[in-house]
Amino acid sequence: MSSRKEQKEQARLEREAKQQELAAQAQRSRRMKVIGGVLGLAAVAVLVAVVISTSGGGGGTASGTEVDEVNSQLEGIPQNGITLGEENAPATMVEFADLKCPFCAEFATDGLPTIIEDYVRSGKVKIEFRNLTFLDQATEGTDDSTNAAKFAQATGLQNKLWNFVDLFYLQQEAENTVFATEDFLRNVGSQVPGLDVDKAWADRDDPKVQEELDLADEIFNREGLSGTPSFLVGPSDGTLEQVTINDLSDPTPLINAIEAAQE
Amino acid sequence: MTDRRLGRAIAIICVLGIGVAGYLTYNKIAGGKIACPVGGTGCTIVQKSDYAEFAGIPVPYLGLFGWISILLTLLIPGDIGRAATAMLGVFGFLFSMYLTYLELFVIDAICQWCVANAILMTLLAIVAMTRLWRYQPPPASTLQG
Repeated sequence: MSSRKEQKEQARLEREAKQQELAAQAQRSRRMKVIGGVLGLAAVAVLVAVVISTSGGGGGTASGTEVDEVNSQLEGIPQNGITLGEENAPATMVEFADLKCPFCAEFATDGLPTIIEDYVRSGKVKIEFRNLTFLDQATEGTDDSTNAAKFAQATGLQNKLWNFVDLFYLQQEAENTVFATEDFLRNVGSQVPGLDVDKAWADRDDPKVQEELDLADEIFNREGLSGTPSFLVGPSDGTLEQVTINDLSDPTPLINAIEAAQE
Repeated sequence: MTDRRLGRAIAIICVLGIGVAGYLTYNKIAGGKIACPVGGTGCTIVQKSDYAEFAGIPVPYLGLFGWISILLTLLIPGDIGRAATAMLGVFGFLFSMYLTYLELFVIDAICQWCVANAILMTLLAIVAMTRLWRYQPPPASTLQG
């Protein structure tokens, strides 16, 4: 009797152990399925995100509102070649910049608007845009900076350079990429009110365009400047001095120099 | 580490992530200049690159939304909540690896805030997966009782 009872007990224990093992197996299997599902879903979601990131969006385009904002910022201010502002303004500010330089774009969007609104529009200062192309040397195998600069100077022949430059900066792409293609330049040019884009494209070969670029290089080297953006500020009938700014969104040092040049 | 502790660790990582993404979002909205924590210009270059927006939405906004979403999944009980946290964590980790690849090999500049975010996301993915792996559902008898 005792032996039968023991056998039954043994069988019960074995059954329970087997059930526990089956339950543990089921739980492991379920857990693996959940983890597999989590990893699979995450991987698919990332793949979709990467495809969206590489196929759409990106830079090189600006909304109509942004384009309007840039153009309205310059509306009503006289332009003559590379100069923005009244010809007889008491102060002159010269900016040396490369259209592919991200810091120049930062200054154009964050620091310059205050100067344009408060000092250029009121006739206190005129600004010259001296276009450099040194980033072509920094990025081997490209003449992107030169292409952009030539087109910008050509828009200056129609007195539209400042609109083009600010719109270019608005849509500037990564410094180490080649983006200033004919399509890109024409597209930015088409956003400038009143610009004859075909004429500007043809005018890139005008000798005056290369003369301006050579002159920008010459002044930059003569003044011993380095890096972009660099600035010279002073009285229009006097000597211009270099002014450096540490924060591209804070034009206070330039404003101080403009104020000083009024006296 | 117990399940509760792992949950707390996730919450702390999320708060730190919200801090990083929140600073970048605030800067984007306020139009200010991003200060690189240890200097350099990488943050500005990355901020101005083609990849600063994803499908037209600034990446910092997506980051902030992501961190808040992960934090909220901690409120979902059971397996589903743990799976949701882990799924978002792994997604965030893989996506931040993709963004780091872009910084290193496409944009050619490193944003220290993005690196901080990537490190936090990596930690989060590890902790969230550990939490999911270790989770033991309550015995059936407890549920029935």
